Amino acid sequence: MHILITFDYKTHYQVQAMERKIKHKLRPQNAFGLAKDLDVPASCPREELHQFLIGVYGEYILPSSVYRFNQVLRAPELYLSPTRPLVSDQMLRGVWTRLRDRLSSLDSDSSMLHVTPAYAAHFIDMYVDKHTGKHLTGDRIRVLLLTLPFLLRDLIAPEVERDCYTFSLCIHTCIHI
Amino acid sequence: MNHQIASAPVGSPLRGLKPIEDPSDEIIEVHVSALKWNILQRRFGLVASDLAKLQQNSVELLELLKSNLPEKNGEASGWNFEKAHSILHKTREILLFGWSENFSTQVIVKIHI
Repeated sequence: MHILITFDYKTHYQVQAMERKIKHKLRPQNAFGLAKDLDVPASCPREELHQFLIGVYGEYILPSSVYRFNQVLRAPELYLSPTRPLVSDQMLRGVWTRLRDRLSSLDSDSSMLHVTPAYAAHFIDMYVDKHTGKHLTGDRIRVLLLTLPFLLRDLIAPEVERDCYTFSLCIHTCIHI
Repeated sequence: MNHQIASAPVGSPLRGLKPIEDPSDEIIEVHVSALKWNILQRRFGLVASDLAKLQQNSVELLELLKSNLPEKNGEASGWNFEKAHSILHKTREILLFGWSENFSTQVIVKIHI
């Protein structure tokens, strides 16, 4: 790997002079940097928080799962006309509201962890509504890692199995009751 | 949806479509695999047989990501990028650096918060 480094000689000599004066290395050379053909960034270990929890799981697996559900419900062949999908926006919203409610229904008595409605809403904001300013810490991602395998079960079964028109009327009626 | 596809009249764009399948099982399979991988790689005192199992789990997780979530989130590159690939390096990192917590930054992040 070749890296172009601009070298500031003036600063270098100033630091060297100061090192001589105080008899102490201010910029000790990292031994890793001396190893031949060693790519230091590549050889460093990836830590769990950024590599897996926030990285692979939070940044890729979760959005991909949401995308897969959306992809099934809004497949191009499931449009009755170019602007009229079989699964309406309201029905699609109902799926994510269902997931939010499943998440917020977890309590420590039954699930050994408690998820607040605010956390569940935050999850939906972040992964469904794609608010770019919202984030989750590693511990909060871990809550999803532990619970989503159970909460995603049959998430879109009502939309897949039932008559969309009748189901849409049910949602509409429930919302207005 | 399947009810409407099955009863779609002649001329309807839904006529003749295959029934829609709920992808929950495939998605859950990925999530369970991710959970298993995470639990195993965090364990203290992994022995050689555990590390061999971890490597096997890493390969399985990556293969599941490719097969069950093939389009990722709509990006063309799929799962061919460094961070996804890095799960395959975990066994080697544990061999070189020891227990995962040795190089975890979570404690520092908690202090910061």
